[in-house]
Amino acid sequence: MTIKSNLKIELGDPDLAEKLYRAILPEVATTKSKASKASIRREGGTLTIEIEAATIAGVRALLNSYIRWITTSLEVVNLKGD
Amino acid sequence: MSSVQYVLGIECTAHTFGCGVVSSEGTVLSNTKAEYVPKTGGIHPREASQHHAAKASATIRDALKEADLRLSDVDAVAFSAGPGLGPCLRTGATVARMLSLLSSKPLVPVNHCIAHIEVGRMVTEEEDPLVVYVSGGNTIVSAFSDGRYRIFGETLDIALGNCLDSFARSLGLGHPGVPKLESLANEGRSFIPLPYVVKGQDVSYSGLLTMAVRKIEESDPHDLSLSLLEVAYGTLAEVTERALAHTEKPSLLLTGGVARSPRLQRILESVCQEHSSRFYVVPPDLAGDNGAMIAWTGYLALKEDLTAPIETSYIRPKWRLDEVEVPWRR
Repeated sequence: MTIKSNLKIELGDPDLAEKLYRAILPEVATTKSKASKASIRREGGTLTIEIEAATIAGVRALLNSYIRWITTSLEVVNLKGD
Repeated sequence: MSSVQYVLGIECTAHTFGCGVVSSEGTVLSNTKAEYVPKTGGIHPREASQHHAAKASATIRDALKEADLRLSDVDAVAFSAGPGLGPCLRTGATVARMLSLLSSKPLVPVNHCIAHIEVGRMVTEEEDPLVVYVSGGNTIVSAFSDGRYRIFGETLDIALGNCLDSFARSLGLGHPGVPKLESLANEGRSFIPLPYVVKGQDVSYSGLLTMAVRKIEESDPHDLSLSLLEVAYGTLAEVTERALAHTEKPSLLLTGGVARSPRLQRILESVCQEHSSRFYVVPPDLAGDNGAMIAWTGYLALKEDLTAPIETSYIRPKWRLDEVEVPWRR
């Protein structure tokens, strides 16, 4: 059985979405395992992350990681003006 | 136009999220950090990464403020790419990539172990020392030779700091373990035999820790702490002395979090005296994991164009010290 989860983030800013996409993309390749995998794509100002895992716990763990990276990256954006 | 360059460094390999800013002149402009301290037991990688994610933005903001610089003023963003705990490294790398993209400045991956060495060379201005790098995650005796830092001795299992911290927790001493252990040891009077393990040029602390923990119930804690430290530091001193004799380096540099230990400093200083070598210790604020050491090593790498494209700036959790070319020391 495979469990899937889609996370869609509408940032409304294509430039910011592109930066976020590029910041996270290297982790997509290196977090792939036998138990779980993810993919990320950008369309305009929207990021979509698709997660697949063999268990709900696996989906939740990977989803939490991506949410954490996204949240932290967006917090860092505020430093641009500092 | 000023020719001084500024590099911002992100440290995020284990328990510390650190951010430092250094200048190309070797001045540490800021060095802020937030440390994850588990309620019980050792580091939980996921919890540590959650801590770092929560503290990252404020820690970086404080570092920029203390350095009196804006993000746009920095010339590069360096980050610890490994070795370290995967979840922590990923958090640090993601933040560093974002900073690099926001500032349109190069991204420089840095080997955490080399950063501990280079910051020591920077502050002591010692050109070519034998290095003893001791921390919670690493125990390495290293010297530069033929373009790389070569390893002349290391732990076969757990690191020195891990051994001592684990034992301190077993005694109920809490965090930070090593200073409390040293205070206890200072009151010790009798030596309790413990496994003294040296294999070739390598040391081993796992069995030593197990035996020391087993003896807690039957032993005086002062004597046991004294014995553990004497054995642990003694094995390290033995391999260090052989490395010093073999490499004929003119000096010894003690770096890493456990470098703060006065007892270890005394032991290694006596080794140096035997070999007429100079002895240096990294200052306490730069001994443990910190962003300034990443920033400084990032600057050295930047001078050699050792930057990384964002798309392939992968973390390397098992990145060994001796895998890294060090062109700035040609």
